[in-house]
Amino acid sequence: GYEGNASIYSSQNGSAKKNISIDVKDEPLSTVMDRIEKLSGYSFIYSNSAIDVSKRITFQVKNQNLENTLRRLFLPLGVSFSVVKDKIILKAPATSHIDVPAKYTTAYPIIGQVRDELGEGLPGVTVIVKGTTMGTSTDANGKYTINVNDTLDAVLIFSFIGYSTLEIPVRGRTEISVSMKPSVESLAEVVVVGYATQKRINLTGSVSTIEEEALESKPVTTVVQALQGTAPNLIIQQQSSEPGAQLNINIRGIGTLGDNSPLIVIDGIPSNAGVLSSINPNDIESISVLKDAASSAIYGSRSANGVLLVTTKQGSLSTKPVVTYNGIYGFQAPTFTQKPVSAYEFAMLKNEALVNSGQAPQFSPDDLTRIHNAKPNAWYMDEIFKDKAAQQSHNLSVSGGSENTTYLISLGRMNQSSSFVGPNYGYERTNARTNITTRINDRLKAGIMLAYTNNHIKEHAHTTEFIVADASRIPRLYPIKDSVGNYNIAPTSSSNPLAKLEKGGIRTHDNDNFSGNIFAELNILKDLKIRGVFGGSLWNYQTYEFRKAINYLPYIGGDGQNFIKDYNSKTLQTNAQLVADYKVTFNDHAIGVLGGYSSEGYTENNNQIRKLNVDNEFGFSTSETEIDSRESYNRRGTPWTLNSFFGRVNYNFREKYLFEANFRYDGSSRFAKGNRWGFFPSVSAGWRLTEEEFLSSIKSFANVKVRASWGKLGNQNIDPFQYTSNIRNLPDNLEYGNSGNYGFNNNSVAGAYFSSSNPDITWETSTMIDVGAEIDLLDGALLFSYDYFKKRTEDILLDLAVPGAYGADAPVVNAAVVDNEGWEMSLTYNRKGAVLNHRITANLADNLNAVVDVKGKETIEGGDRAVIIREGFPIKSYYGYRSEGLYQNLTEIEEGPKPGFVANGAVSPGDIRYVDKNADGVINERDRFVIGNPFPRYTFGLTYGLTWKNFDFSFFIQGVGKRNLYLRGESVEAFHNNWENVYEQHLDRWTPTNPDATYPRLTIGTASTNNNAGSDYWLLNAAYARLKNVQIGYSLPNSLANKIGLNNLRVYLTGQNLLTVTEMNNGYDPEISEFNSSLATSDGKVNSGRVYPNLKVYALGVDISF
Amino acid sequence: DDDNGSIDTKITPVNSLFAPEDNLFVKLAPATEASVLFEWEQSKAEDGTLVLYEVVFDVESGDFSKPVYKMVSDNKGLENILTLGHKDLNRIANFAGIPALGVGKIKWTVIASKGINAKRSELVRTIEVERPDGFAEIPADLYVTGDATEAGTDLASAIKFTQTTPGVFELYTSLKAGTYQLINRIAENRKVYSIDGAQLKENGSTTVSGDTKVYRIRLDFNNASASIVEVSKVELWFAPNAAYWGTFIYKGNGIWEASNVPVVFRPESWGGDERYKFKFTIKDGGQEKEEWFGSVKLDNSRPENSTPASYWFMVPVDNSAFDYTFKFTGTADNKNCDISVIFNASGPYTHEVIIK
Amino acid sequence: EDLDLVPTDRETEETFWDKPEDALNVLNTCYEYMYNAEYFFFNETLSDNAFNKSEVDGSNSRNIAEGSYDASHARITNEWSFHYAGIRKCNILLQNVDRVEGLDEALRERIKGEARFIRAFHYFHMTVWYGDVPLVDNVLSVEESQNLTRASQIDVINFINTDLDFAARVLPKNTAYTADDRGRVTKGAALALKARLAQYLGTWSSVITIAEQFFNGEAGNYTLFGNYAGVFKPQNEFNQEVILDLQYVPVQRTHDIQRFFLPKTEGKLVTSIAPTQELVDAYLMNNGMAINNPASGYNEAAPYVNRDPRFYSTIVYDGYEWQKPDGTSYTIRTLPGMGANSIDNNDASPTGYYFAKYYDHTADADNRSGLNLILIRYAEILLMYAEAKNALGQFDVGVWDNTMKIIRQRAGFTDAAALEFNSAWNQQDVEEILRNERRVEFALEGLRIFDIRRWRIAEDVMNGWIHGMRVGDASIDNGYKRVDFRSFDPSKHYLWPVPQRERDLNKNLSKNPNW
Ligand SMILES: [Ca+2]
Ligand SMILES: [Ca+2]
Repeated sequence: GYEGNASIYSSQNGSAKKNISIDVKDEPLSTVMDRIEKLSGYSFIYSNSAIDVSKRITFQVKNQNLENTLRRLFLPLGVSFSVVKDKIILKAPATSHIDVPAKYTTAYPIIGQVRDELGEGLPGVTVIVKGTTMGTSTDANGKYTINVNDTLDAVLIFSFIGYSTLEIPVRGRTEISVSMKPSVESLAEVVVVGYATQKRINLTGSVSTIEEEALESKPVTTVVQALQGTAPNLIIQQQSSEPGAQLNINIRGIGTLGDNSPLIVIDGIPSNAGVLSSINPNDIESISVLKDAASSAIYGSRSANGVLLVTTKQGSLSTKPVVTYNGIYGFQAPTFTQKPVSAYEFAMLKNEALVNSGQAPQFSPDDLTRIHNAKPNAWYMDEIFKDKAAQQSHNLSVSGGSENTTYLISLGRMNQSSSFVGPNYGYERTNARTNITTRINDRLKAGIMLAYTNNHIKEHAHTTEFIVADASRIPRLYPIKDSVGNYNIAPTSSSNPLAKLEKGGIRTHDNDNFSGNIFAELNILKDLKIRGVFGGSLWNYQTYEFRKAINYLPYIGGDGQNFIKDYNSKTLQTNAQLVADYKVTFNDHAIGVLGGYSSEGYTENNNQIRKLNVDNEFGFSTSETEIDSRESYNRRGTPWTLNSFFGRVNYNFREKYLFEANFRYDGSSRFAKGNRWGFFPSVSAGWRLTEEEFLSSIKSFANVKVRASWGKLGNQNIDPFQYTSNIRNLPDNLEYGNSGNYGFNNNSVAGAYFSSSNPDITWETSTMIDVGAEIDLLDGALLFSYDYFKKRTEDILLDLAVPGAYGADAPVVNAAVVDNEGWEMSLTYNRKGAVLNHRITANLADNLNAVVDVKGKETIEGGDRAVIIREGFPIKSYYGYRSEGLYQNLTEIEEGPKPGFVANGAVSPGDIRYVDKNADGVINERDRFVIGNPFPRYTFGLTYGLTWKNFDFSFFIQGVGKRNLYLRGESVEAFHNNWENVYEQHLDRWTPTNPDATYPRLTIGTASTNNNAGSDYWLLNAAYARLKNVQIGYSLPNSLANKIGLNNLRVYLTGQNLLTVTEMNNGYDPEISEFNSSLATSDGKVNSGRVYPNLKVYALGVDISF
Repeated sequence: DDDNGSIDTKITPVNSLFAPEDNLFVKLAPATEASVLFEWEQSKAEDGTLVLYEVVFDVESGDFSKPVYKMVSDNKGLENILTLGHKDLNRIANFAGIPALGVGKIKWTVIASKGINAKRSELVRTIEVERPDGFAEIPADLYVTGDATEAGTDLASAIKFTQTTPGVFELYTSLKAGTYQLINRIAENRKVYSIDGAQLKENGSTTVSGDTKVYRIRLDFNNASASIVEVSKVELWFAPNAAYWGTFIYKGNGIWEASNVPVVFRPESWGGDERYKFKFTIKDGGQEKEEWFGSVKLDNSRPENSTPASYWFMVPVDNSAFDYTFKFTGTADNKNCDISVIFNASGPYTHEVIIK
Repeated sequence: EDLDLVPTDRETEETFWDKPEDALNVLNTCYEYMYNAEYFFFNETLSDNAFNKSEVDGSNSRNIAEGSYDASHARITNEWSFHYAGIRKCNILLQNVDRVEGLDEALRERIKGEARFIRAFHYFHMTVWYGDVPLVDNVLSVEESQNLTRASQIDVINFINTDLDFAARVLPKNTAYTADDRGRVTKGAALALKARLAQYLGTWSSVITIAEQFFNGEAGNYTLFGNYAGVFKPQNEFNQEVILDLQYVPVQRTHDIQRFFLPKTEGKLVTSIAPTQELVDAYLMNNGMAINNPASGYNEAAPYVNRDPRFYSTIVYDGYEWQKPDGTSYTIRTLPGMGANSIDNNDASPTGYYFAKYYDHTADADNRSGLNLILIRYAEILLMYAEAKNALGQFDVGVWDNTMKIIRQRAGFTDAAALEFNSAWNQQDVEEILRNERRVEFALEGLRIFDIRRWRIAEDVMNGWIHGMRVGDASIDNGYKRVDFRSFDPSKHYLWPVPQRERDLNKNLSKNPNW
């Protein structure tokens, strides 16, 4: 082999930086060596007996650094070289040691200066002696002094954030000055992949990484919120902004009709989104997003939706303790709520709607004048939400390491007040973590990572949907409280949303989690490691709900039933793994082999009791109290297990040609014997063009790689035991106004409910191809990557629509096929100027799925807002009539098609006209079209960062380029279902003199039937760009910080969700989705705006370390 | 929100009146279902939506600055027609100062409005009416006397009616078996009236049989009509508790009294809730109806020493729990009170709370 | 880890059917799905008796009543599946009950009888609504369900009768069950349903035969309950008039539909089931005369005076004295401007009327009620017998006295003119009287919609405006508030369409005429 390549950069001779170009044909080696000496300023030392310098060679390099030049020249000749100071020492393979300076054995001072790439002294660089605790840092001029015990073999490590770490052997020198270069991440970066790490340049799969910086200093409450927009095609959506609400996570969109949630692996242990949402964001080192088959096939049957690998922070060896404190304190303000009309406008519009609907006006001229002149009432929505609610988080960590042990201990506390008025509603989280790794001896390493989380959510005991609906529907004609403070009951409601918040009781969720793992790693041979891990996650969930009866006297209202509900659940997910890892390098060949076995299990036990008619003050039982057997139970839950074999082989030739193959062989308890085991392979290859001569001479290309992968991935996420019919004793269907088991003679009796089953079910399988390119330009200042993927998922598990005459829910079958296709790109640009440093990162991605095969069976869900699963269209496409404007006159109506769902086809000018698809003169269900795709496309994120002296500034924009959102209910229909809701958007209604109105003529009740039929008239463009985060920070200069005993002090102002650009102007948040990550719908509450509004946050933060 | 908001209220005034033709002569027959149809050209709203109409009436010499009557058009103001019964027109004629059996002219026009923008038509028409046979002269005052009455046959103490609107008299009083007459003055040259079923007649007397009961007598000299209903119960509604308080006993002279009513405000975080109003139960031919009396104001503050007497005046209100309620004065809390409801001609109907 | 897991909180098909409770539990579930509270109450809004104000509650029955619906309508789509879901449960039981060991043989027969009755009850509704329907008598595979064809209505009726004959043969009379079994299907129920089917088909002799089995005690022991209002009160559940009722148990199995038809102040939710003026007008005066009879004494200004006593226990009107659970009472006002229950309050009844019948004062504060819903009661036997006799021209004073008279006596009529037969009445007069009697006797019991369909009068009563109380301008419909415009096309609306969803999933299903 050869050695000493790192010392190239230790040269004091500036010319070493200069690249070398040589082009000789059939000339003596000595000629080439002369040229190199001239060009580099280095001189060769060699023995004539060992090296034949007269040998004639043909040699060509273009614009290569010294090391590369030497390697290309000497390696083919079998000559090894090492560089010491300004000498290049050559030796024949067989020769022995060269001469070296004498070895000192006592402490010996070394001085030097560290300069940056512009030649300026670099202060604050950590300099340590490798393998010891001896260390120092550079002064304001970049100068340092350090003592070494061994001047011959000691190695100095120079490290500084944002710069490539240098390891410099002392080799007898007394003065070592170095130049540090900004890290070219693409070349040095190591990426966490399944069961291992890998140099990014050697990856052949599609992996995005999110570093801790992307998660820092944002006033968000969970990691998942912070992830939004940070990686292309990592799509985070929210269904509600309520404190503690879970978010949707999708990687590369939607590929199956079933569960689309990605696999989440935390420190190597498969986990779940609940744990990810609860983890302390400050504990995270990095997150890898595995997107294609090459990167995720090693996770086999659960990888089809992509994998998120989360790695938590560790301490460093031989580092003195560093204590870090991060704190944020701020306020949240609700945004995006409907815009009300005044009481007077309401009365005018109500009259108009009544008259348009063939009814008499409600308000007389005198009434209207009186309402106009009356003192306005506050809007209910303004009364139930606070103007500002506090939010804060505090994190304290200590990390460091001795010679053999590293440690990290952290504590975190987060407190987000709810914006709802009421008794201190909100979300509190407490996190604690210890990560410890120790080297027991040369061959054995062991560690433990343990994290505890408590999530405490206190909320009202009612349903947010109905609280918001009530508050937003009641016109400002009515006060929320009367003159003496009683809760008012408006004529269109039977309850008062403020009373529900203030007097309606509370619901608390108190959820504890222990997650962690212990591991041991043994080096059996130099290149062979075995690693054993046991880990898991234990959850204890407690929900206590005490709904109080509200006395509305003297008004008459509902909410008279009180109850308590007490729910307890324990879940345990465990995982044992054994992994063997072998790496070998010979000549130009590097080979890695990894193989392992994993076994996972899950159990869940829960119980609940619900008591009616309890004491209304404290919730204890009285003689009136009854246990509600419908909602009281104890369950031994539904366990599952998964056993797996997995492996990986990779090979590269000179890091130029890269090959990799992965597999996993999974057996799952979710399927019957015989259908249980599945094999998921992948293969991939990469080619680094920059290693080829034709590119190596182009200076600006630091790294250019193309890669391609193919593989099969699985999905097994269905409820357990669907392969056999289960018989339950609790009713599974509480529709039709009924609830509970049957009874005789007023005694309840048990039932038996058969689930539908299919013994033949097995894995869903996705076949995925991915081609991608990575280009690092300008010495790594500009990074660009692009991926195109195509995925076909087959044997999708679904309950195919079955005829009603079947008489039961459809059994799950492996029936459907879905295609998903897309691309993603990301761009990073770093520019360090003399004064200003800029950093821009941007990403843009698209995905589009299409149902290929559902055996011709269409499934339509919903009423006015319908979605369809139809071959050829995206999953859950919106489905409805296509509108073509509003009828303007009777002639148009006369000649237009008649809506069959409207009595006598009666429509009026100002009503919506629908396209008669089959031209039979009648509008009915046969005229419906697929009208929109609810899943986001063209998702993007853009971060810009700027530093100037000690100030830093950044903003982050996130958005969606294309998405449809169907609105229904009161969000579009004035006076929906005879309620009183009217909003500002309804002012632009059709009237004979406003033919271009955005809203049809105002109607109420039956007369609205035509206009509220599901149609694209109510389909909105929910594209948006949102200023998600802005930060302005100031760091104390090091000298000042050091004076007060600190390493670092930064204060900053930050804001979240400050600005949004969207076409939606009706007060609904374009970001909020009605679907969960698997496109299951939230019963239309989002479509009708019955959600907790999105929040703007302003906060002040401080980071301190010492 | 003190402007028109975004509602376009521009309209044109009514530019033509269609019916009745100017100077139509109508001989009123208020006892029948006969009616007069008013019709006019529709007003136009700039935004093409609805316009509401009111027909206003004034005396022949009036300029509608103080119209004698205003009525919304048919279908709650929506239609450009008004079907006005002779009964109503007779009342309007009365307001316009046309005496019974008299002939006179009334002016009318139409106000079109959209919200707070009201436009009175420039056009005015006149309708001439002859008021029906009946009372040549509507008495200025009215009394009841006779052995069926509280005051007996002593003319000097005959009980006076309250005139609620011109020509309409009302009296809450008890009647026992016997007879009574209605008289227009206590002095000589009296006119005498009597009630015959639902008819008000000149001369004669009315016989009462059965037990003594409290009645409400309503007489409309404009239409020669009479109605007598029994007032079977008077109750105080204490709104915060949704409860009725006290037992009101009829004391005579239109006064009911409940004594030693323990007043306890409903405790609330801000202090106490003390709102109340009154319910009268009326029996009309076997059917019971409730009638509510409360404050002229929707919401009230607690009365103080300086509060004018009109605070306690009682007017008909709806049966909502809370609207138009009175409040007890603060010192009434946890005290016994004597409460009197006073419905007689000595002044507006009112009530009195005496803290003991 | 072990991959061979079994659930620990429930049985699987491998372990089921090994004990008698298994069969009984499945039977309980058959009962649970026999019918439901939503259909029971909202059926009234399909007829001229009531209006469903909501487009959401009751599966939007409003649009069916308006004649504005198609084969995708929610109720029509759902009811098809609802019945087949119930049928499947019965078929599962019938197909497996013989496997169960240790089951008393008499009990086994009874279980079969109960299940076959429930299956017949489903097919009864299927064929009444949809006409020809697929006949399923075993547990279908998905493939089989995709290829069914519609059996002719004759075959369906024969199937129903076969099941009912079996049930009538094996099931105990009402008196033969122990108290614990109150609520189970009886021999009487099987016979009564058979009679109802015969009545709908106009096979009158069969109606008479079965009715006579009731009169002579063969069907069980049934009489009219002492007072009309009490029939529907929780304290009188399982009274001697009840032939079949859907069981509810306070707290443990409840329905919450009463909140939709009680006065707003009691239902505490938007009112959606509102009685029509047309129903109110159908109540006779207490002298037995219809209100449009000039001699009846009806006073439009005091319309609620001296009416059929059943009116007062069925309909809530302006001035109604409402008895609260705590024993107090207050007056319900529905005139405009009279508070929460007023006709002009958006959330309140748009007709100015509410239903009082089936009000369960023991329901919880959210109006969840454990009150049983009576599906068949003895009064119906009496009236179907009367109708059959009249149809066959055999109506006379004897029939009247045994049917109409006792029903009216029980109703609380005392005037002889209302109680006694008038020999001047011809067959058509009697038919009119009987039809009106059914309308008021069974108001809010869901029978009216079936009656107007079998009498073929839907196109007469389901076309045009329905009304609320008289609060409007006299110039329009004499001042009765127009509430909803309805239309009924006799060429198609006498049968519901086969749901579009079903025809999409099974190409063998044909359409109903003109759909
Ligand atoms: Ca068409
Ligand atoms: Ca019951």
